[in-house]
Amino acid sequence: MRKRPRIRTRCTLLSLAAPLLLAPAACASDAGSSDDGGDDYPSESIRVIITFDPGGGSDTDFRRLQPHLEESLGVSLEPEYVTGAGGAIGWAELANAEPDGYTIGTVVLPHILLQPELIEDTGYETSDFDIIGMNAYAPQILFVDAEDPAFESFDEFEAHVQENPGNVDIGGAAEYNLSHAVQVMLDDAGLDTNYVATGEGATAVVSGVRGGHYPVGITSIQQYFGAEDEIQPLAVSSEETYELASDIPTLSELGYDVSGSTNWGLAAPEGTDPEKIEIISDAVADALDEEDVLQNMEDEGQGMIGTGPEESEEYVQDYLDDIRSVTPLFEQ
Amino acid sequence: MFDGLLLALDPAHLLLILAGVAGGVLIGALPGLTATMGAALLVPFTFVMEPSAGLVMLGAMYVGAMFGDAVPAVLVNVPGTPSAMATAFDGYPLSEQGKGQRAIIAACWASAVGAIIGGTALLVMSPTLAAAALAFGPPEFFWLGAFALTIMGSVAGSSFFRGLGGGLFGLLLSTVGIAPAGGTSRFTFGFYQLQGGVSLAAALIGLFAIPQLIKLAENRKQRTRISQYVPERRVFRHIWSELRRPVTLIRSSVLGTFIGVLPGSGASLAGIVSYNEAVRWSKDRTKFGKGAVEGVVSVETANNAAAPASMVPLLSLGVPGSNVAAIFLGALLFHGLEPGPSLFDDTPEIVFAFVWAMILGGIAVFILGRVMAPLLVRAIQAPVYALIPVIAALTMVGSYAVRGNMFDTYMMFVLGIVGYVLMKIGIPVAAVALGLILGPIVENGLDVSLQMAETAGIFTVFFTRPISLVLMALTVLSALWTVYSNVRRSSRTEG
Repeated sequence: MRKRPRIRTRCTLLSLAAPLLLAPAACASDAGSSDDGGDDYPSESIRVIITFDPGGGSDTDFRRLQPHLEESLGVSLEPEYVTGAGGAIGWAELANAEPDGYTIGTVVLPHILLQPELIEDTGYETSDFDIIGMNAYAPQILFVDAEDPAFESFDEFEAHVQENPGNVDIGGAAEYNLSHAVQVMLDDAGLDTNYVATGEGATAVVSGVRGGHYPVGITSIQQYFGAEDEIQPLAVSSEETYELASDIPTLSELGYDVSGSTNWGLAAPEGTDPEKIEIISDAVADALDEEDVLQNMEDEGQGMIGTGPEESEEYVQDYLDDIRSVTPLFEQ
Repeated sequence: MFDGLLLALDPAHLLLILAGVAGGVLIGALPGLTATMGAALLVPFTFVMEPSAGLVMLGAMYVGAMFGDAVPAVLVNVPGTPSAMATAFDGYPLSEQGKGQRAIIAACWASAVGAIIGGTALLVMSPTLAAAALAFGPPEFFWLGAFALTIMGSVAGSSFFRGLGGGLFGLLLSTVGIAPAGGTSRFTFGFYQLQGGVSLAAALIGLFAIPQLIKLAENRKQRTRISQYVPERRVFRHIWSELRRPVTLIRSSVLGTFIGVLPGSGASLAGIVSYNEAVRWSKDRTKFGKGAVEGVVSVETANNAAAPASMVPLLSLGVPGSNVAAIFLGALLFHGLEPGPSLFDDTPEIVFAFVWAMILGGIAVFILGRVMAPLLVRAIQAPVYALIPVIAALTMVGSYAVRGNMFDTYMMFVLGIVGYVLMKIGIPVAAVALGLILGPIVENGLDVSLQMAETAGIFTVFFTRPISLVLMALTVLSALWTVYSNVRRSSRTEG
């Protein structure tokens, strides 16, 4: 269920590909001996900035890796929750931290791409981070209440929207998040709905649909796992059939070329020694092979990405290109 | 249900309940450390325990924290968490009068009653309450928030216009940061740290603690104390006489339970609404804000009833209604329990043990509070020159700990100075805090309602929903009542 095979790119390979991969620094410092003790890194505990509250997606993604990382790195990882402004406060803190390898943080796509584009004074740029690895992903679902469904199927929903363009509410957690992006892309593709941002997180979206305050909701598929009796998905926004819920049709199967997933990963402040990043990313790669980590991901309804630093740069760049094609749609 | 009780009564579990409550009291009592953070700290430890043991301890911790936050509110006028804000209104005046012990024991008993009633509601009527909570949509939240805002004019015995002014300033402060609608940055003045808004917990520490410290330091006689600790002999009888008519307890428990069930509103709102109603329905309204035990009781009953009640949506719908519930959701999932309607059928023992732990936690609060209160009250025995630096250090740790952000500590200082100035010109800081707490609830409710009105129309959204209409009527009546009673009071004093 890996989204892409993980490639453990080595230096020889990389030197050929470096100009393409936007990670030119990776080999340079490999050649020269590192002066600040790359050999004994890490020698003290590592601070991990988590930009959302305990119990959120970022926390979950980090916590399942934590015991394995601590074991293989031989130091403790100290999570620190720097929250607010949809994660932006914590990311500004991470961006401004000393790039000495002893401060890393969780990152989420598309948040770290959208915020610097759409909000003034975010305090960071996407380029302020060196990605250690992107670990997990989860697509979005369009859903209705299972007990009293407003629509039995996506087709029924689609027909209703076409009869009442712009007059059907879709509840999502916030403005300018992935849910909103999927909604504007659908809008652009001819499914004209009214986005209602609840401003209170994913669980409020589920309550809103279940209470009948808006007929359809859009949120991460994670909300569906453990709530199969309460909500009924109409469609999923993964590019291909989502393996953990293979019975849900994808938007592209339903005739809309729209897809998008939330991605969780780890990053260091820009300028962190690539050797140190490599050490952490190797530990992450090993942790992602552990049985309990895989099981936890499945329980949480997340799929695995598992890209290392170099591949992640490319991955993030691709995602950014996609996002740039969507942001103008928000304005309309 | 009773298998669960037996499981909770297992001696090892009883010990965990006591430990959980004691830990919770401590976390609640330290300003800046909230129940959410306590739960997050505790969850990893529960991973190595039996599912029932872990959940029992978490439940008890939550109940304990809801009482613990009253302690600093009473003793030094600094609420331990936002939900104890209104506890300080009457708790601190009691301390100043040397009746701190009475206030703390009253808070403790009220907390116990609240937890037991809220827990019982969770035990026997979860499905009904959950269905009712779902009927609460954005327009209803808007009016509930607006209803709570009507307390502004009468907060803590201040004058109508000063209370109103403080409340409006608080509302204005609550708009700092990224707007929930439109995503524009408001009043950030180029500081990215302000994007997330003013940290509520840091602001409360600043507004309540700093003016307090300055006021204490102004006193030339450095050996003075906040007040003399007077061990009261008949303290239980005094409190009993106050509680003999259980109207306040019942009203506060019902309000706390219902507001607690609503997703996302939580214990702070429950405490404020309950206090407001206690004042409104009292025969002698002038005693509030000057040390009325009833005031302390109304807040503590409600916020403790809200704690177990906030588990209703989690256990019966699988939707966590609060941050703490979200952490509990993680703990349940980790132990292989899937929250939702089937939970009570699949693993009744463990779930009921968890619910019973909250009820038993209430009893543990009762016992622990009684033992701890005389010890805690001695804190104000310390001479002011010793107390000031200790509290000052706590304000810094507390304001930093909430979001892990040094900027919040600076903000706490700035708001502290503002709070001091406001105090000097007679504007109650509690009104400012009220605006700050209620602002986001009201703004978000209105914002989402207006988004819904784009398809349904303003009239349908605001004037055709029965609960919304009732709340609207209550808000208007409550506002008129506040104005009327103030006009009457001022005309009486003049004439």
